[in-house]
Amino acid sequence: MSTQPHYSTAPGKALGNIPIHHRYTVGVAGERFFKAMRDRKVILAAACSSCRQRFLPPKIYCEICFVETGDWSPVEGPARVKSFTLLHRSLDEEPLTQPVAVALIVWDGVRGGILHRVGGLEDPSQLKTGLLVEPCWADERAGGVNDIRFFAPANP
Amino acid sequence: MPYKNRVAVLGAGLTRFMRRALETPKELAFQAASAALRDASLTISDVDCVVGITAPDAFDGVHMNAEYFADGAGARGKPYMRSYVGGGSGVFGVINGWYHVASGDFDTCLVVAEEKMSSALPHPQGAFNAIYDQFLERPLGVNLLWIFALEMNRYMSAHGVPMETFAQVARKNKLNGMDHPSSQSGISGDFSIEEIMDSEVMAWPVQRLMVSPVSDGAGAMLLASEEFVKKRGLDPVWIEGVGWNLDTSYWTNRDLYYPRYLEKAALMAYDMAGVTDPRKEIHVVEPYDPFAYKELHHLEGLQLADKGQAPRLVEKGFWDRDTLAGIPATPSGGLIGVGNPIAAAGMMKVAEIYWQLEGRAGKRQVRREARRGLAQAWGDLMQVGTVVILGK
Repeated sequence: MSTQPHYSTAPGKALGNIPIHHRYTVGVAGERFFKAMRDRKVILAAACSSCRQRFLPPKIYCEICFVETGDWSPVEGPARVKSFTLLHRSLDEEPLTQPVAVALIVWDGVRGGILHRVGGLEDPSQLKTGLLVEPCWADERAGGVNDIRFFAPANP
Repeated sequence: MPYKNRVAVLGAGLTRFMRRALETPKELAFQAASAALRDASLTISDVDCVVGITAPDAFDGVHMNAEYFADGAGARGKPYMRSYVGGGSGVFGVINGWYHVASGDFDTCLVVAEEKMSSALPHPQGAFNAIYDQFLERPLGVNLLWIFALEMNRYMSAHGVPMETFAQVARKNKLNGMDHPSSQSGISGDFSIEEIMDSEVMAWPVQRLMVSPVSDGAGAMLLASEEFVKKRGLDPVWIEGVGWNLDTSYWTNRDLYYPRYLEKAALMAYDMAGVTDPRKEIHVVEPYDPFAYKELHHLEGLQLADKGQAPRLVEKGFWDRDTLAGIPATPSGGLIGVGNPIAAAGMMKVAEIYWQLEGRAGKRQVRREARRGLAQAWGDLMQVGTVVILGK
């Protein structure tokens, strides 16, 4: 890995890039959140030590009271699709052969939610606001958001 | 005075500066912001608006980084503004916060500076390549060190400054930094002149132990209006003057031996503060010191020494922390002795002047009486000077 820029120059133009790479730390809260997904297949929420509201994704602070969060515990019960979309183009605007379903997934009693793919649908028309879903965990989990393959309709 | 409010400093907070923090930018911002609120004995509900400061997004690797960490800065549900002039940002953010309160629009402003340089690989210097001209300079693989080496060479040649003098500045700041609780591991210490002079040459004449490190960290400061202060019966440190200025954006068109950008910024701040003889009226100073030579360069730009005289004063101990006859410069330890998480490093300098004037600098407290002090930063395309004068 290098930050030496690669340039092809000619009169009138220069092709170039901003040659920067990154290695991110997942953070104090992130380590706890993703380790729990990897090791225990649970999604943790954190409760504010002042207002007691539970937040997802969990942070070390409550952004409302601006104090530290205290109790961390897994979200329980079925998740719900709060909103969704069907993607027909890739990030580079290439057409997709199959539309990809993504949704904002929320739990009752928890503020916030997480973005994820929705899979296991018999038909795209099955995807509706309010649909009850559950995480489909990957067998090999590295401690990241893709430890969940997708959310699938919950078995009643 | 054309401003509606006098503006006071009610508290400041810093994280530890680190080579690589586990904390995310949001978490660093929260630690510093909540420390500043505790220092001011206030809570987030007392904060009317928030200013966020961070240097290039390329370091943290998050586009719109100041917006990304805004909830960690306590900005949820509040007016928020990012200030950005590269390395000058830490002090510029305080200037921006000052405007928010001086305007009369807000009674309080929380200013939060965050920088996580460790995310950039293989080294954040690579990110600096992209600030240069994409036709003339970037294809050569330029980074900041090139230009600073040229500037340092020009400065030392113009004034006949020996390398030992720069090593003495680095030694002073690294010694001062030993007493700073935020000092990055391994940065401060009792380094001998020989050790500093023998350190690795990075881009001659710039050497490893005369350059600030790559750092992660955050800092914050709480500003308030005179009315807010009076209601609480406080006797605070006040912001007496602010100034900033840009030289030409193209570095070849500056005479590198003297920072004109800073002379103009300083004169603006002195004028606002009613300072007519800065060498007598500024009692403690935090000049921006990412490189040892820059401290001297900037002391001249600040009019605290004649051109070419700041190095001569080093030898007399004029800038030492325990001076009684001189002006203590960088009592914090500065970027060389504490660390350089860019925006947070500038904030650290303003915080140091605040704590010095409050008499709360602990082991770093200067010996001479200090009623007025100045903090300064520099950066952007190396053409910006930002200055804040505090007084008690």
